Amino acid sequence: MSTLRHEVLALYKDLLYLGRRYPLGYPYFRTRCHAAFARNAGLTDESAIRQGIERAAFVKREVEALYSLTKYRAMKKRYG
Amino acid sequence: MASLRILVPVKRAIDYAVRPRVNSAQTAVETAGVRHSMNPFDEISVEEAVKLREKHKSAVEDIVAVSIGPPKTVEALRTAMAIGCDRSVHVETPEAADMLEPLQAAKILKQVVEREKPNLIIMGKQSIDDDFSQTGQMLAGLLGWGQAYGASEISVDGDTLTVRREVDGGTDVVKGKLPMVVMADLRLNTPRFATLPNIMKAKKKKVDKMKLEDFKERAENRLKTLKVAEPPVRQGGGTVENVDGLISRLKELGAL
Repeated sequence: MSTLRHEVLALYKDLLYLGRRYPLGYPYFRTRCHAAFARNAGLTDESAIRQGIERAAFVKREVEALYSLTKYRAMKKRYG
Repeated sequence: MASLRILVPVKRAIDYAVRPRVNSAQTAVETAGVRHSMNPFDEISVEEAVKLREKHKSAVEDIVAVSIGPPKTVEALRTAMAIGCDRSVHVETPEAADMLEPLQAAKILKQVVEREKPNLIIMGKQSIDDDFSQTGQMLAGLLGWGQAYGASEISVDGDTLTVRREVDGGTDVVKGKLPMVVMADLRLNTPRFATLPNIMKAKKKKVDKMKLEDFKERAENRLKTLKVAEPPVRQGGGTVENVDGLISRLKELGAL
């Protein structure tokens, strides 16, 4: 159980770190991210927690993709 | 396969998402308190060096990032090491000094090359702050090495390098023997994200500090900035009622 706790916390930290550069601002990202984690704080079933971790990892990948795409598009527009 | 020692020069520039502002004295772009990050083209070249290592495990001996700039430039080097460089060299310039011109940067890089002895240099084709796009070519010229500008694909076979270059209206394939300088274009790869744990780990990697005075061969900045100004604001267009209105307006402007 404690290893799962670790994974969740690590993901939360990673997401917050990513959120610092979120286009709509850090407070926007943080409140929503925090709420999403808080909503699932009461989960006790292991498979449910794993599902939650999966979902957080997916969101993390999406945010990363969002950043690299915006950067690529901006560069492409400027330099072709 | 020949062992590869890769040097990746990087530059810390104003972040691509920031809209640059001209300072009140109209001498330069405001940099104080503005978000900076590694030049996107340099990110691509760091990624390519790391990709080469992933592809040819044992062949890549060493990946060194090097940067010239004020003390905060270390941040860019840390990002480079978080992506996968082994160590880095920081050539420190005074905080308030003018940005180096390409020839000066190339001369200093040449001496770093003599010290680190790499046989492949991968660098961004240009930086997004001053857009000179000259340093790589000058460095290759000074070293007498082969060069490939605007690489969109790199493959290594023994000590030959095949580089696909993006040119107007197509691609150009060049082949050369190491040592070589390759300048990365936008479509070479997709740089990975420097994750938080990796940035933490990168803090333990070594950064060699050097001073500008440590370099014998140096050039002076030759360009003098007379004035920096924002581009003129676009004048809004007007609307016309109908086709007749359009024609009379065009006649008025002398287009018809």
